[in-house]
Order: sequence, then C-alpha cells, then structure tokens
Amino acid sequence: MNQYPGAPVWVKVLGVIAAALVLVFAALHLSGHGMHHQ
Amino acid sequence: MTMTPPQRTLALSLHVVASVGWLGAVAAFLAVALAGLTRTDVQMARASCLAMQTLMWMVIVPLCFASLATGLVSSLGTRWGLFRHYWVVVKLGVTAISTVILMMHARIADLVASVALQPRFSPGDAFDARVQLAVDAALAIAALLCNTALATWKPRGMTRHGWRATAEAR
Repeated sequence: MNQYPGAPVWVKVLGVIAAALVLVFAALHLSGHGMHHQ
Repeated sequence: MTMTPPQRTLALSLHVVASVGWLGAVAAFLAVALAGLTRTDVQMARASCLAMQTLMWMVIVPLCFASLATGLVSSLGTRWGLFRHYWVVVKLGVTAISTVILMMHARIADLVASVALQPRFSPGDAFDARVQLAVDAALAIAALLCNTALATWKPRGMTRHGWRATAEAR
C-alpha cells in the first residue's frame, strides 16, 4: 500500500488564510476595535 | 448507506436549491442593509430594518439549515462521504461556522427591528448594529461563494481517512 501523500497545497493555503483571519478577528476584538452595539 | 440514483439526484437538487437560495437571500439582505444605511429618510431606514428581520428569520435561517441538512444527506448517501475528501470537509466547516455565526448575530436583526418600531426612530439609530449586519452579510457572501467554488471545482485531495477507506475497498 502506498504511503498517504498528505494534504494538498490548496488545503494548506486555505488553512493559512483561515488562521490569519482568526488572528485578525481576535486582535480586533481584544483591542476593543470590534463593533459595539447595545 | 448508499442512495439510489434518483434519490441522489433529488438530494443534490434540494441541496443546490437551498444553498444558492441562501446565497441569493444574503445578497438581498446586503442590498436592503446598504439601502437603509445610505439613505437619510426615516421611512427607508425603518423599512430596511424591518425587512432585514423578516429576511433573516423567514428566508436566510431556514435556507441555512436546509443547506446544512441536505448537504449532510448528499455526502453521507454517496461515495463522497463526509470526511473522505478535503473539499467536502472544508465546505462542511465553512457551512457549520457560518450557521453558528448566523445564529449568534440573528438577534441583532431583532434589536434593529425593535429600535425601528420606536415612534421617535431616526435614520442614525442603531447605526453600529446595522453596519455590523451589512458587514456580516458581505462576509457571508464571500464564504458562500467559496463553498460554491468548492462544490463546482471539487479540487483533488483525500483525507487520511478517505485514503485508508479507498485502500481497504480495493
């Protein structure tokens, strides 16, 4: 049986983009720049 | 469980209708939100707030859950499976996260509608909340377009689970 080749490049690229979006979202909220409404 | 070809066609058709309908409903929501934000007359702003609440609960939320449910049925009842191909896993993840965020933010539409029903409502009221609804809708359109691209492109790439299942089936 062949060895598992691992995740394709497009999955890794999407993973990096998703991680960057999460970091931006967290940074915005932690710094108090997120949306505020009552 | 594998579905028969007519069942597969029915499940896929329902999934396409629900998913594309969801995308169209969010686009309509964004148009209504922007119309309410950019116009200065009270009637337009109030109509926008009330229409957003109706669109949210009567169209977007039902189509969101219909898309999730029909997608689960389509993947589990066919050879694609739920965790065999990366594109299915990513699509499921985007849909699940979008559903959670939608349900967390749906109450903002209720808040905006309740403010719009006040007799002294003015176009600047609940402005931040209305901007957030427009931003949410724009992000949702991006996520749903990503899902549409994945569903039509079906990029190659099997997960470790899919790789093992395929090897065992040989």
